[in-house]
Amino acid sequence: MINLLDAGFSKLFKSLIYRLAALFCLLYSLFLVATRIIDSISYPNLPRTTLDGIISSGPVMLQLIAPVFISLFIGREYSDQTLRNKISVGHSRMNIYLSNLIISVVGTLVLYVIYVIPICIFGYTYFPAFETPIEKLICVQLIGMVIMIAVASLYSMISILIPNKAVTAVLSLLAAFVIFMFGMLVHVSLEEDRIARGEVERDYSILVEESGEVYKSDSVLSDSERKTFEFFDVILPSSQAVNISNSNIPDKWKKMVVSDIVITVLTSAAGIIVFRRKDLK
Amino acid sequence: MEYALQTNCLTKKYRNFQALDNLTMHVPKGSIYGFVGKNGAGKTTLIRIICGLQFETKGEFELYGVKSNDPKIFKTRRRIGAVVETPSIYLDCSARENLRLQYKVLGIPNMKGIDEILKIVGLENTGNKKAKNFSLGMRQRLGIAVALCGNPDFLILDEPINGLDPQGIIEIRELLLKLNHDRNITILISSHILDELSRLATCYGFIDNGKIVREMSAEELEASCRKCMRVSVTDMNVLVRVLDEMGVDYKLIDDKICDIYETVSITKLTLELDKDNCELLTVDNHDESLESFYISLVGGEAK
Repeated sequence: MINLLDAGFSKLFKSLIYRLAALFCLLYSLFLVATRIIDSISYPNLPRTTLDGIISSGPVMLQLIAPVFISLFIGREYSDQTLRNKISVGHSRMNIYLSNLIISVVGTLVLYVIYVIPICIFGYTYFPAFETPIEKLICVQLIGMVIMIAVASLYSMISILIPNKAVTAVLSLLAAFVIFMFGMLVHVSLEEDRIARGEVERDYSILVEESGEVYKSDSVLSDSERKTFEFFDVILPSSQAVNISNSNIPDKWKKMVVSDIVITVLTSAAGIIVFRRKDLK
Repeated sequence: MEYALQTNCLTKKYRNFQALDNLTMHVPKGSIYGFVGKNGAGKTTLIRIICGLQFETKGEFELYGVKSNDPKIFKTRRRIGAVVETPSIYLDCSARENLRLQYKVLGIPNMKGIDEILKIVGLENTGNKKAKNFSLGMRQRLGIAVALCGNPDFLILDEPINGLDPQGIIEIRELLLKLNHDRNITILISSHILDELSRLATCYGFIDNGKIVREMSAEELEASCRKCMRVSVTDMNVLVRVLDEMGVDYKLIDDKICDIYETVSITKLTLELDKDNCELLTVDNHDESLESFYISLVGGEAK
């Protein structure tokens, strides 16, 4: 498998689509930092805000970037038919699957690091460090990485099992958007429910003021709805990503990590089982 | 005889279609095995199964004596190089990069052999040109180069000359002959371009509807396809007696037609037949091509 990893990483780091993804992560990170710098210049009398609010939001953005590069990178094995070269020289399908999974996971985590590094550099130089203690910040980043491992595992499975690059790319992106939107819906619904039930201490009861009309949150969920939404809030990677985006460790972080491990193991096991018996053309 | 590949009652069924039907074949070591069959006969399915891309429904095969259900088959597959249908190459990489990647897949640390392989296939001067800008023939040769990484003992090529121009066909033919002669590589080459195959193959397997209908050496095939004089007469018994008396080699086709494999005097033959009131109706030169031989094997009409 080391041979497959060696070849795979060589190909990944030379891949145009991966380099573009890395560039996007870097530019997105710098853009967010730049907006904070512009704010601090525009309002010099206000104390400088820290970068806590953006350092942990990488997984939210990567939920949409990872599927693109994973589906195109693995899909290329089918479109160029180079997967045959690996199988016909005697590599087992399990090793091929696992090597692709590892490459996808490492590739995703490298993108994560590329996103975080500029924020750290500016966070400790231009800005007055981070409000969140460093240990807590590291814990949040580790949870973020576990979320991204689950995401990479899910899209690796889709990409390896569907032998058509275009279909894989479209399906992965579609799945990413659906999971992302559903995760947002779940998170917002639960947030509004907490506000409506007065669980949130700060006064968020007036959420939006538009055209003189005052909107008050009255979205109280029924018990069964709440339980269902809380379940999805824990298991959906998109919802998990939103939960850690403010650099706080959520109360349910253990459940989230377990859920991510379960997603990773289940998708990998299902992928390996199907791929081992799959007829390739 | 030692075989690089043997299959035993290999069967492959898709839902409503049987691609291979108890197929049994033998590829001798060091041979160029021409695998002949029309489209959909099962050639590619067999090659995919040998290469591990698909799984047999029933039966088994042996690669260098290792059975397909033996875990050692993965290691044994390292002795084969294959080009299945289209060349498996990274289109956004140069020829050299493609070979470097395949060397890595094979775990060969020393990249020195790459130059030699590029030279063998005639792609040593392609520089940084990406494979997507290669001609079809160059891609085909690069596919063979990738298959040659790791010094395989057995090369499996599925329709390697499809779509090539005459120059490309000659280049591939010469390359394969060189590999077989110089490196003693066993080659299984599937094709339905029979004339081209007849310039390469040392033995043949004819497949139809998922079954091997006949396996034979090039010599046997040549004997079957040799030039002859085809005559038709009114009385076959008389002709047989006359030919036996003349001591010539012949073969009866039916009760009116006979192939005579030696040059005989038409006048002498006519006079001898006339003695017993047998009339010589027609005389044709007959040269059975591989194509018509194949058609006669699998049924249908030659053009």
